[in-house]
Amino acid sequence: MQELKPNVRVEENKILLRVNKSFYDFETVENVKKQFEQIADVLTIDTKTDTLIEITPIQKLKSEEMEIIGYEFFNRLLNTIKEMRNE
Amino acid sequence: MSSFIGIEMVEEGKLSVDNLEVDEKTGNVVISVNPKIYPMNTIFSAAYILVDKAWVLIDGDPNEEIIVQLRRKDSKINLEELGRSFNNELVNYSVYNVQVEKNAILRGMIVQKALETQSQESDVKIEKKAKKAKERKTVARAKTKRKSRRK
Repeated sequence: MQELKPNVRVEENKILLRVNKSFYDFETVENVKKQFEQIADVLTIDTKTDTLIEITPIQKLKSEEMEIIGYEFFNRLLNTIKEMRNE
Repeated sequence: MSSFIGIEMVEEGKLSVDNLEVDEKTGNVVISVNPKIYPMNTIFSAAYILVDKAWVLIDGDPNEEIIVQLRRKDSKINLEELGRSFNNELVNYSVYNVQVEKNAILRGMIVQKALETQSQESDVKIEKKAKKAKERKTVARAKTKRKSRRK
């Protein structure tokens, strides 16, 4: 199995995500980003293969809680993809 | 690294079984999927089913190897079972998609037939209406003729 860079990482008060553009398109990421803007500052950086996302929660959270926010972002991406495909 | 009937110890606490890599330490199971066997649509559908039980991450190369990472939401969930249920969902959705494709032709034929009969019925209705209108006209003409004769 190929070794991949981590998708979710927590650094101090930031959650760093690496989203593979082959599976999650720009429109989907923007859609989910809007949902998270109520609880955090969200910054996206576009690279050739990935979208890098930096989430800074407004409230101070534990490292485990921040990690869960990161993973929840991915589940919401999947939800959005399914909704878009069903339309 | 020890190997026994397809089960391989990758490192401490990490097991590799078939196309699964189970990591009890982090609560992750990583599944390798061949995109030549399972198209993206099927992979997304199978992943979506498990959203309640796990956090799902999709990564890798869409042409060579797709990596699906499932991180359990509850520590009671068995990781190997979770991975295997994902594999089963892949098969489920593949069968479903094949059936949808097969039925698409039949569905098209049924719709076409329904539209044809509907248009035939409406043609008959139009003909009947025209006939009635013609009859009404002839009756009206006859009436006016009779009236003019009386005068």
